[in-house]
This record gives sequence, C-alpha cells and structure tokens, in this order.
Amino acid sequence: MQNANPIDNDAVLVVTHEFSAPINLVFNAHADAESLAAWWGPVGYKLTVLKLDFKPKGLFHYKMESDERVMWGRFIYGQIKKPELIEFTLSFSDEKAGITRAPFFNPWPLEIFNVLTLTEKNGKTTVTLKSYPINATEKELASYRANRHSFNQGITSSMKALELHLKKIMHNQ
Amino acid sequence: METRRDVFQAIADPTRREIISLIAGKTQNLNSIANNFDMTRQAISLHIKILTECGLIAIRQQGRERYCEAKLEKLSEVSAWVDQYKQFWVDNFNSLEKYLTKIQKHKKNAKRKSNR
Repeated sequence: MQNANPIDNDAVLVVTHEFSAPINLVFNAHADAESLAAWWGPVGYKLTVLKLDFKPKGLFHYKMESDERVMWGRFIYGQIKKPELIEFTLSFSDEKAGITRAPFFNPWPLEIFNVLTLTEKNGKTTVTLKSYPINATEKELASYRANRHSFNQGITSSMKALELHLKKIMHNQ
Repeated sequence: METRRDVFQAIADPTRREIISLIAGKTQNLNSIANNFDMTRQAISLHIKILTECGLIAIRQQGRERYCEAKLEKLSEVSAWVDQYKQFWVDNFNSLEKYLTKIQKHKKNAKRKSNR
C-alpha cells in the first residue's frame, strides 16, 4: 500500500476494493436503508437509519451507538448514476441532522467529499473511493472569485499588464 | 456553524497545495510566490492569509519584504486524519463484502429450495 503524500493531486485519499458480486448488487447495497444498516458505519457500533433520501441533494441521516457513546452522521448526496457513481458529502452530525465537529476524532474535517465509482469485470465489482475535505472557506473563496470576475476584470487585466511592463523595465536595468 | 480555520481548509484547495509545495523547499517572498500563478495578487494574498490562519505559513517582515516560511509540522495532522479515514473505509468495505456474501448465499439457498 502506498504511503500517499496527503497533499497530492485532486484527491487527498483513494481506497479501492474488489467485491465478489455483480455491480447492481453492490450499488443497491448503498441505496436502501436495510442494506446500509447492515454494513455502513464504524466497527463496534450499531447503526440506525433515521432518514434516507437516496437522490442528488438528498439526506442520509443515521445514528451510531456503542456501549460508551452515541454519535450521529449524515450524507448529502451529490451526483448519482446507477450503477456506476455515487457522490456524497459526509459529516458528523447531531440529532437534528446539522453539521458538528467530530466528537472525539481530532483533527477531523467538518465536511468530507466522497466519490464512489463502480466498474464490473468478470462478475466482480471494483469500487474506488476518492475523498477530500471541503469546507466553508471554499464556498467563501468561490463566491469571492465569482464576484471579482464580474466587475473587476477590466481593472485586473490592466494592472497585470502594468506589472509585466514594470518587470520588463526593471529587468533591463 | 463555527468558521474556525483548520488545517483541512489549507489543503482543500489545489492552489494552496501548490503554494505549500513551493515554499516547503525554500522560504520566499510574496511577490515571487505570486509570480508562479496566473491569478491576481489579491487572490494569492487571500490564499496566503488562509494558510497563515491555518498555521501552515509564518510571515516574516524583513525591511520592505514579507517572507513566507512553511510550517510543515501542521501537515502531520492531515496525515493522521488520512490514515484514520482510510482505515475507516477499509473496514467499511470489509463489512460490505461480508454483507454481499451473506445475501448472495441466501439467494442461492432460496433458489435451491424452490427448485426441489
């Protein structure tokens, strides 16, 4: 197993698994409450599905219970393409399906984006997970970029031209 | 929801990942960092500000220059999370495998019974 540089490329984390099952079965195991309750969640915890809305922007809200503690988690689904793609944003949560800091895992991102892709070959299904943290700052930056672009473009490009020009002059001295 | 800066915010953006790589090898001033990117100085400054707030960069004023130095110890927090999260998924996939084996077996048994 590779020792991944945590600041690589477009995914911070990649995990692959090959299942001895056809792709529809593997996909469906992600899509209904009974299945998810049977396999999803940390080892040693009983999983209860509180809500499952398996569609883009839908919510999967669940409770995890062990002898020592209770935690909640949630998915907000992104794109879903049967049987090959499931995207979702994973967060620790509370009873009201809000976003909370991880109760005892520290440090842990507030929101983690996950992309699951499924491919089948010879009756076996390979599932690849790509994952990276996302957060409020990204949304801030994105809206900043969008706004700047619309009304500052004229000023920005002329400032850039001036900078380049000045650099040229300074370089030639 | 709180907007505390954490180290994950630092690495969530590809430009910031590049900035970290750039200065990890060598402390540089703001201008020379910005020259590597095709975006406004302001955009780069915002990225640097976030990286500073996340504790990944320290800025030193030297005369009129501002030098950015990488503080890589913080990145070990990311590695720690990556290892834990990876293990979490390995365990999940193992559970899923067991579940799929079980339901396929039940299907086979059900078929066998109905064929008798």
